[in-house]
Amino acid sequence: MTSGMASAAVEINEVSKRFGNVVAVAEFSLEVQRGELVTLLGPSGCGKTTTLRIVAGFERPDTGRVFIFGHEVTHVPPERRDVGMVFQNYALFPHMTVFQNVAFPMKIAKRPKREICEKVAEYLALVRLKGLERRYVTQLSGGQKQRVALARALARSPKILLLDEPLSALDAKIRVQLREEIRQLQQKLGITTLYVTHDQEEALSISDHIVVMNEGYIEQVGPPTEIYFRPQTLFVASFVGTMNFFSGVAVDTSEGPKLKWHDSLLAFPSGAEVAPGEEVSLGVRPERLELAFEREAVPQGHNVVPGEVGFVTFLGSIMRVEVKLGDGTEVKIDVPTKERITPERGQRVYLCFSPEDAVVFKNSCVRR
Amino acid sequence: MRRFSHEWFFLIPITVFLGLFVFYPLTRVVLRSFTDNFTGHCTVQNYLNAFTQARYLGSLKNTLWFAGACTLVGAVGGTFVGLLASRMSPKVRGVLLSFYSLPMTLSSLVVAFAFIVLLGRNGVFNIILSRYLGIPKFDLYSWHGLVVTYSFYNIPLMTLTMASVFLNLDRSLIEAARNLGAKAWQVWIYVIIPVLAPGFIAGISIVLAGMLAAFGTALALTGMAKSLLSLQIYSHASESNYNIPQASALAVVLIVIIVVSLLTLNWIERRLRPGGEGR
Ligand SMILES: Nc1ncnc2c1ncn2[C@@H]1O[C@H](COP(=O)(O)OP(=O)(O)OP(=O)(O)O)[C@@H](O)[C@H]1O
Ligand SMILES: [Mg+2]
Repeated sequence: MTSGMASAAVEINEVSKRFGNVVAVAEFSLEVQRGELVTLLGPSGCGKTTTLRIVAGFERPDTGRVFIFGHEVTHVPPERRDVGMVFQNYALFPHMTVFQNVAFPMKIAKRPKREICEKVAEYLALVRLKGLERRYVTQLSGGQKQRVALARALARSPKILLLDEPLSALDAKIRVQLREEIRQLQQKLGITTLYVTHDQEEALSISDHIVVMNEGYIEQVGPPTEIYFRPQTLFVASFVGTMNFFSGVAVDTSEGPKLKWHDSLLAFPSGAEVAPGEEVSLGVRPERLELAFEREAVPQGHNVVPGEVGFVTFLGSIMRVEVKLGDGTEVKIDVPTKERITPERGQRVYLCFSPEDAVVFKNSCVRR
Repeated sequence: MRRFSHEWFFLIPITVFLGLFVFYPLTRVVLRSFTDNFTGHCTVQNYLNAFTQARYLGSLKNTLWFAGACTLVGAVGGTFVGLLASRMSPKVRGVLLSFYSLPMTLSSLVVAFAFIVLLGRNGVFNIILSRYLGIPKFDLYSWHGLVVTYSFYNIPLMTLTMASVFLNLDRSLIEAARNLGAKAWQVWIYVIIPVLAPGFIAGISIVLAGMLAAFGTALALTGMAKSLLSLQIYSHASESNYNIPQASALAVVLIVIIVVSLLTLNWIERRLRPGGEGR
């Protein structure tokens, strides 16, 4: 592994890290290409921060190696890695003004005064904080602090940018606005970015690739649409978005293998390789399920399951309908409100979905 | 307006208390300091004495030196032990810090006797030092003896402050600085010391104020042999050279010194405090 144009911006190679008995990161391998924004997504304690801290140099991996633009940095101290990091709590210097915070890395690097002033102005403009130079950071709002932290991390043009849950301390509205700004800024600067979040919506909306992590391991790596529509594990399916599961045993029929689910036979998507007798689950997203009030209304070729309407929640553009199935399980369906159907509690309905909208999971242990 | 008067109601007891036991005596002291000991006439002679007579000037100088030395030793020792304490496991630290709270609860007389037993002319340590190690005896009744004795209060006091200051230091600030390219020494200069400075100054304010007014243990150890301002005041308020107006004038001088040094330290602390005015 030597430098060269071909190497990835970040390469994490078989990295593991334990804290006592806790395995924080296990056999973690990942390549981040130049200019990409890659998100580490997973529940609390799955090792996202630890992975980021290993890249930043704050933790030494027990095994494995880390490369930045082809250079091994596994044992390089953090101050020599040239990696910008935005901390979860911002970690702004409380005894410094906004200007001094952003100028700090350049002052440390002994850049000439004029250059520092220009750069600080440039980056404060970039994060839309002009005019706040002389404020102390204790006098800023959460969103403003976040922008200062971003400007400070970017100011000396680091090779890569690391963001650890940068928006988790902000309220929902600013979160959405800031994540779009971060994404635009990242694309404008073309800076390779590793972004940590436990918010799946955030991950889906801003990433080139998403790495779904669970208990230190990588569950799946892929573009947002693939993670959402083609989850490879039950964990990914249930962690990213909402997924309804129909679990049962595959049986042979005249029309090929089908899933026997109580009294229903459910078709698999084409191309699914399922052997009779195998225990499998079919996963369907709420927005891919449809409601029919009569059996005749179900489109040809759709899988059908009867049920009874339970709780209905109005969410603006959609209505989330919970349907109780014969075996007591509950299935969630999103009905667009523009369809103008209003299911009543207790009403008998048919759930239906195209087999092509379902995902097959070979593992029968559904996490609920 | 109603709420305002209600709040006043709760302030009455503390106001009465402060009035009776602080403002009334203070006013009396100030008034007395401007009277003549024999005639009772109004005069500024007591203040002139305080700044011209050798014994008063000497004790003024002694007090400043003594308080300065005690504060320095307390600050250095307390900062060091505080740093160590902040790095201990919570359990060990809890034990250490609760021991360190003890000195403040002990009577000055008890402390003086403890030191006499250990470090007095025939104290345990002095006997070991001189007999078995051949090192000259430690003179507990000298100035440095007094500084060492008072360190028994000051180092723990400063340690308690600095331990919490170090514990409250946000580690992510240190990591952020390193991430931005700062070497270890630069992290200390540009981040750790400035961030800790306000707490440190608050700590030395307490020590300094206490040492400017140090009295009990010094009296118990040295009697009147060491001329501190506090001891001068005491000697004029009792015994043979009874002179309450002169004692009052010296007390006012001491109060002014303490107030001015506290205000100065407070001003510095405010300027250093995050988001404070200045710089
Ligand atoms: N310094 C440490 N000492 C001991 N255990 C640690 C340390 N840092 C992390 N861990 C443990 O390692 C595991 C992974 O922690 P990590 O902080 O990487 O999780 P995370 O995915 O960032 O979680 P969160 O979303 O809550 O921030 C956790 O079980 C955590 O308790
Ligand atoms: Mg974390």
